[in-house]
Amino acid sequence: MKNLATILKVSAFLMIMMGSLELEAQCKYFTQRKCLPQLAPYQNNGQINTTVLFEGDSATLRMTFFSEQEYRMVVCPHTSLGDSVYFKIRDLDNELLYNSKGKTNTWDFKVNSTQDLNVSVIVPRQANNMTGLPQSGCVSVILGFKP
Amino acid sequence: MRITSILSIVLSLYLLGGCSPPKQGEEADGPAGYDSSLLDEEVMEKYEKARQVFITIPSPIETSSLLQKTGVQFNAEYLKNADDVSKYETTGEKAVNLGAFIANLSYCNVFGQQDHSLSYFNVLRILGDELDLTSIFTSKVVQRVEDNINDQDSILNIISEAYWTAKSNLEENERQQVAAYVLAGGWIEGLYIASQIATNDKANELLEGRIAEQKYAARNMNELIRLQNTDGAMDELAREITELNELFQALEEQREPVTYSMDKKGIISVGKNITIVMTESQLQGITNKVKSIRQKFMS
Repeated sequence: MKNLATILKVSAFLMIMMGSLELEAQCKYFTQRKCLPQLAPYQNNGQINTTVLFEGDSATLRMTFFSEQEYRMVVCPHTSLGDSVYFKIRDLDNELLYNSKGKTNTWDFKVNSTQDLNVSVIVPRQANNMTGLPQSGCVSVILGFKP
Repeated sequence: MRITSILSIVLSLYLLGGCSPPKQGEEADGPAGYDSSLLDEEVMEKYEKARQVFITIPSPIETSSLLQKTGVQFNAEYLKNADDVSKYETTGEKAVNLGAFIANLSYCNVFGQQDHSLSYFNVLRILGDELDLTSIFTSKVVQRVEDNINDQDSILNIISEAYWTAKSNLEENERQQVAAYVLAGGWIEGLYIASQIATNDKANELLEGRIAEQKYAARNMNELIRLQNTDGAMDELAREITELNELFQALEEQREPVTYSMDKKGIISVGKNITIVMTESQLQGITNKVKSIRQKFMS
């Protein structure tokens, strides 16, 4: 009985891990096809962060932004997460600089001086999710600049 | 057959109840590394403060572009020798030098020195093979480079794509430590080139300012290496980066409140106005430290 419980736990773990790895691989393809084109005419600076998020999750990235650079921030969620994914940008004193809620997930901006900012991606729960299962999907955070 | 049955039971349990969303007011179970948020905006704000923050390091692609915008001249003397590629033995040495060669490649490309670029792409291919990144630096990529060698933007796209694919490939395969070595190599090499130009060529205030601004990247790099050095394998590099970070953190910061303004093109400018003050001796100290780290890990 003990062995069966162990097998069940290991199997469940493996299934979740396999699902997660598969999703990670799909993320790369999704990012290249659907997200990167949204950067144009900006140039990707090599900073692309992709991950799988569930409804109700959020994640924060700390990024350095340089003065005099023109940036385009693109937060690109998979359609499975609905259309209410948004992002917030705060400085390290937690002062809110931008909230994309209700706007597009693309923002062109500059910073007054070089500084670190926290970019938080928020995936709200979907009111029309009838499956009872939390949806998951790729979210890519891409930064572009004018060379 | 028995395994299949067990897996079917597990799958059924997982679908029926194990993964149902929590009720409102409960925490959602997300993947490790992410904190869950709740529907309530106020509660979510609290979560945002406590949440784990993922650190990023400026890429060599952007730092090379920043260097070029300071108006400095290209100087091949500060580049790594592509023939050194055979000298590296351990995974750490190979990874840190992969990052350094990407920085060299970016530097050559933004200054329009395409004749150097091809040899660096070949080096990346060799190191990529040795680090099991064969799907990234393929002969097809090298062919793309050869076909577009005079198109700076195309080469920049290829470098950028190779950089993020290598990083994400390593992270996906639980090789975060190797990824951290690549990021460290790229950052140190970029800093080496910039600091050598700043101290050996004619004075350039803009360039010195850009070096001082690496204070933030130094702090983040120090944190990243500390997080990835779980088994002590990165002790030596961690010690050096910590010492370099201490030199950067000694630079004085003058901060003014957040302002918002719009430029002529309608692009908004946000954030605090921060000035970082760096004396000549502080610049020299940072330059010496970066040079010694490079000699130790990337020569």
